Amino acid sequence: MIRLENVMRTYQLGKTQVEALRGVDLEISPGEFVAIMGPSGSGKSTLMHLLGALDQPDEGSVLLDGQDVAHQGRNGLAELRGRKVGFVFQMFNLIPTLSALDNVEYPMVFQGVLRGERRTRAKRLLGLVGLEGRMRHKPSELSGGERQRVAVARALANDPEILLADEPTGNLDSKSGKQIMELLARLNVEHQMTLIVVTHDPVIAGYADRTIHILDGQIQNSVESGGE
Amino acid sequence: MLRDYIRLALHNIRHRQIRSWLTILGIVVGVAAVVALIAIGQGMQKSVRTQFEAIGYNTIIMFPGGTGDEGVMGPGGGMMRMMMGGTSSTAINIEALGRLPQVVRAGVQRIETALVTSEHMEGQGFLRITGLSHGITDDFGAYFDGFPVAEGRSFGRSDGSVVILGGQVALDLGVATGNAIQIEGNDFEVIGILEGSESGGGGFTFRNLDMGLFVPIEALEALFGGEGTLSLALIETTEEADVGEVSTMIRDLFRQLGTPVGTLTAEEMSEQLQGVLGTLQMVLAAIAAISLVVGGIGVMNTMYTSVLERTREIGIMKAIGAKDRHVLYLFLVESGFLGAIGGAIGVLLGVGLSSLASRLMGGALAGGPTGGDGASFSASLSPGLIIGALAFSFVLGAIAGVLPARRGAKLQPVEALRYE
Repeated sequence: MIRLENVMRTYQLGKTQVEALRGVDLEISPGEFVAIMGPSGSGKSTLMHLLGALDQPDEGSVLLDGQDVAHQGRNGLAELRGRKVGFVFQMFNLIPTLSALDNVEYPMVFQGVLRGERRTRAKRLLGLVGLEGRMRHKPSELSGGERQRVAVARALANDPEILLADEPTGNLDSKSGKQIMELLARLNVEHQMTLIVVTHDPVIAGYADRTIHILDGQIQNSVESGGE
Repeated sequence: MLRDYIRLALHNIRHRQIRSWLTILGIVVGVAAVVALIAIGQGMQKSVRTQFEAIGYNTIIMFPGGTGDEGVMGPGGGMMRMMMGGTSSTAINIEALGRLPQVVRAGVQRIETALVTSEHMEGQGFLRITGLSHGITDDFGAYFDGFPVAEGRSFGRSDGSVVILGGQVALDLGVATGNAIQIEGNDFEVIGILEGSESGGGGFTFRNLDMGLFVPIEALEALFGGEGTLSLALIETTEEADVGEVSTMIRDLFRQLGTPVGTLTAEEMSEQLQGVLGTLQMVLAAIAAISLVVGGIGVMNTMYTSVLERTREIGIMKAIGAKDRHVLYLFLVESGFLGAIGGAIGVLLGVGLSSLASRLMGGALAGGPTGGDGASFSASLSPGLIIGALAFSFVLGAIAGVLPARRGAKLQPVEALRYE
């Protein structure tokens, strides 16, 4: 269960104050697939960062499973990110010098998972995203779609309850993009994983149970779409 | 967990090979210099200690002229004079020592420079001749350590015009035992040739044995006159005697007799010389340590660059659950490794340098043509020095990494992820 109450977030950009979020209230149920849509600068990325415990609100509360992101120290935030949340980024954000397998293992290192188990889990996850044959490849040796699949496998490494995807298809051709969205949707259904996708593409939003429109730091509306 | 950090750190070091090796090189130079200098210094101290142990700590060295008041190492001090080879020869009534019950025996050396010729050699040369009294030829304590006769025999009590040659001198003169050489025109029979030794042996009191010509002191008196003249006396005290006290008594005795002498106990010389060497070693090591500091700054610089370059990577690490301390440890282990690898190579290089130095310096000290004091010398590498150098370089690397690693650890994940 995710609940946001009157969330405010203001940035200082040079001399101007940017009010990224201006009183956001939101509830997302476990296992729900939600798309967050809005033009650039609408505050959707900021919302994403708060949901992923990457950032903290200035006011209000962000409850992840009853734990308030607003009241965590740096360690507590890292703990939330490590255990509850998995991230998929538009830019993939893989470590370029590590193989696909090592990249998927990486989040488990910080949770103190032993090497043998890390290997087994990482191999299983790469199998799940259909990359059995590409485990030893470095990101630079993989196609965009393959890289994003490695990133999805990495996001699943610590078996999180929430999967956050920020424009996951933004850097992919339409075919790879479709594959990624189908993979994410499958994970949402088969693993009952809460899935939140930030996008400006209505096609992507079409996969979701519900689409939340955000503009100028405020939620405009929330539309049940009933899936595909 | 630690193993993971080590694996990741080594991975990162390998990935930036040129920069890593240049950084490591900075540490290598510093560690090698410090290790080599300390090893050489300790080797010198050890060689001094060994030599004095060979002479024996109940031995007093006495030489004419000095009052002993200048101190051992002072400009007029006995030690300096001995080391410079400028010992003067004066007649002294050595028998007077019999008045001191603490004295077991005494041996006397007289050093003169004489014209030496040989049928087997073209030309002639002025060489230093050492006359030895029976006290010395009768195996004065452990004094003959490193003074073995390889060929022929040693002196006997009734010997007259006979000579024992150092190995090198025998070669130069082209003679074997049984041949004769001429000293100041008088025939001397070669009765023995000393074993050639790489280090020269002999130490402070015998100078370079390899280059030595030894005759009975009476034979020198016959050539140069001056009965009772000596350059140096070795006095052995009883085991129970306080060597320092006896030393004072000897100076008092000869001052009363009108022929003042200086004395040195083996312990005094050993201590003073080791003290001087110790200070020298410290100063040199401190200078070398400056280069280590520079190496440490190099590590710090590399780590700052690395943190900056990997800002985005740090952001990713944090997004996937890394805590501040995980980032901190990763960079600390990495910089520690830069230090430790540099330290390991530096120790190897330092060992190599110091053994090279001992070969060169050992040779220079012993085999010089003027016959300097043949101190045998080899660098001393204690396990403590090696382990200490390794530990120190690891810690140096880690300390140099603290500030950069903290900067990395404190990065805000959102900002770090945005970094291009």
